[in-house]
Amino acid sequence: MGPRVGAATIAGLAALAVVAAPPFFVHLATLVLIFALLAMSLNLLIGYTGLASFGHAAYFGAGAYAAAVVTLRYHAGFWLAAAVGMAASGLLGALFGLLATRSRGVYFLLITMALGQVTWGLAYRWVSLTGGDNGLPGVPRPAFALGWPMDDARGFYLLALLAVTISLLVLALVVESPFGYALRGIRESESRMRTLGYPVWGYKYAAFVTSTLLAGASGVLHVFLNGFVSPVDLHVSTSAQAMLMVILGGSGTIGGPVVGAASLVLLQNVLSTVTRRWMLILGVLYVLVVLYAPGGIVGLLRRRRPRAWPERGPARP
Amino acid sequence: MTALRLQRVTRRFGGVLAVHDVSLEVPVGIRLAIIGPNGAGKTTLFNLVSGEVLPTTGRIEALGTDITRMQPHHRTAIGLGRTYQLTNLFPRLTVLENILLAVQALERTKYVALRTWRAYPHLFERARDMLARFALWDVRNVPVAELSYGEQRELEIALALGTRPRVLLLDEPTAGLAPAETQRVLALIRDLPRTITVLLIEHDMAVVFGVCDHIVVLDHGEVVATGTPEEVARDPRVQQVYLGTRV
Repeated sequence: MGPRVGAATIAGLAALAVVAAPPFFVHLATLVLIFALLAMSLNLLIGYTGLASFGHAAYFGAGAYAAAVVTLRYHAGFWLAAAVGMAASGLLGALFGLLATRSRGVYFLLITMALGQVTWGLAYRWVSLTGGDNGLPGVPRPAFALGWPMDDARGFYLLALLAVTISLLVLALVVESPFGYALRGIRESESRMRTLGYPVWGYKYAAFVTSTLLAGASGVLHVFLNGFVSPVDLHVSTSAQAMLMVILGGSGTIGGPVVGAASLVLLQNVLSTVTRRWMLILGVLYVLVVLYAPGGIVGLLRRRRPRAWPERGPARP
Repeated sequence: MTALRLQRVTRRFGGVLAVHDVSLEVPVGIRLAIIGPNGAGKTTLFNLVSGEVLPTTGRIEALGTDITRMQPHHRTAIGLGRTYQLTNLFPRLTVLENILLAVQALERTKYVALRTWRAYPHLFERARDMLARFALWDVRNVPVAELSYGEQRELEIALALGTRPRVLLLDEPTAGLAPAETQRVLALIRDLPRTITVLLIEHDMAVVFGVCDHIVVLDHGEVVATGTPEEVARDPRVQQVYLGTRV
C-alpha cells in the first residue's frame, strides 16, 4: 500500500496545484479529468470483467446530448441536466447491454462497436433533436450551481476533480469487493464461474450498466466544458481513444486509466501543434504498448507482486 | 433417494449423436466411473448434467429436482459440482483468491459491491481449511498460472469442493499426473464422505478399479454396459469396444 498512497498523494497535490496555472492549462487539465472518467468507466469492463467495449463513445455522447438538449430547450439547471444526462446514458446502456452482454470476446467488441455506430448515425440524422452535423452549440454553463462557482475555468475544474475523485474511490472499493472479485473471475473463466454458482450474465450486465452511467457523467462534464456537442463525440474514434487510454495506462489497475488519459490528452495537444500526422504516432505508440508493455504504464512501474491477504495460518499437524 | 437420474437423454450436435438415449440411475453415495473410448460422449454427459449443454430430448433429475433446463448456477445451488478435463481455473488470480471465489459462490455476500472482501473473515476461514487439506497453503499467494500442473489439478478439485457439492463430477482428475500425484488425488477421492456421490470420467483402469464401485461404459453416445468393476471387466461387449483383448 505504501507506494500506492504515495502516488495518490502526489497526484492529489498536482491536481490541486493546477488551480494556480494559466487558464489554458486549467482547461487542458479538465479535459484530462473528463477523459480519465471515461477511461475509468471503460476499464471496469475491459480490465476487470474482460469485456472489450469498442462503443463507449455512445454513452459518453448520450450523456452529453441529453444534458445539452434539456439545457437548451427546457433551460434546465446544471444539476438537473447532469442527472438527465447520466440517466439517458444509463438507460441506453441498460438497453444495449441486453444485447451486448450475451456475448464475450471479439463478438462483444463487434456488437458494442455496431451499437456505437447506430448511436452515431442517430445523432447525425436526427437533425431536429441533435442539430445533425452542426451539433448543438452554445450550451451555457451556469455561473453558480448549488453555490458552486462555475463561471471560470477553475471552478469547473474543481467540480470535475471532485467527480473524478469520488468515482475513483468508489471504483477502488468496488474492485476489491466480493462483486469485484467475481468480475475478475468472469474475466478469467466464465464457464468456471457459472458452474461454481455465479449468475454470470447478471454480473456482466450490472458491470455494463454501471460503466455506461459513469461514461454518461463524463459526457455531461464534457458538454459543459466546451458548451458544444457534435456527432464527433459519438464517433468510433472517440471509442478507440478511450480504449487506447485504458490500455496505455494499464487495464485492470485503478490508476491506469487516469495515467492513460493524462498521457494521451497531453500528447495529443503537443503533437497536434507539431504535425498533422499525430494520429500516426499514437498508432505506433499503441502497437508498441501492446507488444512490449501489455500492462501499460502502470504495469511497467508496478513490481509484479501478487496481493497477500492478511490471514492466520492453519493449525499445523 | 437417487443422486442423479437420466431418462432417455439424447444430445445431438448437427448430425452427430453425442449422447444417444442414455438412461441412468445413480444412487446416493456411490463412486461411479464413466469409461469409454475417445468421443464416446463422456464429457458431453457431464456437460448435460452440469447444464453447460442442454439435452435435445430427455429428462435429467438431480437429488429429487428436475434440472433438465435449469441454469448451471442454480444446479450448483442444489448440490452439483464439477471439475474440467482441461484445467479451468482463474489463472491470473492467486490460489487463495481462486478458493475464495469458490467458497463464496453460494453465499449472499457474493453480491456485495461496496465493502471489501476482507470484511468477511468467515470466507477466509473456510478457504484456509480447504487449502490446508490440499497442501496448497504454502502457495496461497502465487498466481495460479505459475503453479505446477499437478498443483493446478488439485486446485481444480478443491474449487469444486468449495461449494460443498453433494454430487461431484470429476472429469479425468488424474490425467497427466505423475504417479505420486495420482496417488494423492486417489486418496483424496477415497477420503470424501459417503454423503457425496462421485462420478468420475477416467481412462486409467488402475484408478477406476482403485476407487469406484460401479462402472458405466459408453460407446458412440450409448450405454454399452453397467455394473460392478468385475462384472464390466467380464462383459464380452466391453472387452470388444473398450478394454481390448488384454483384460
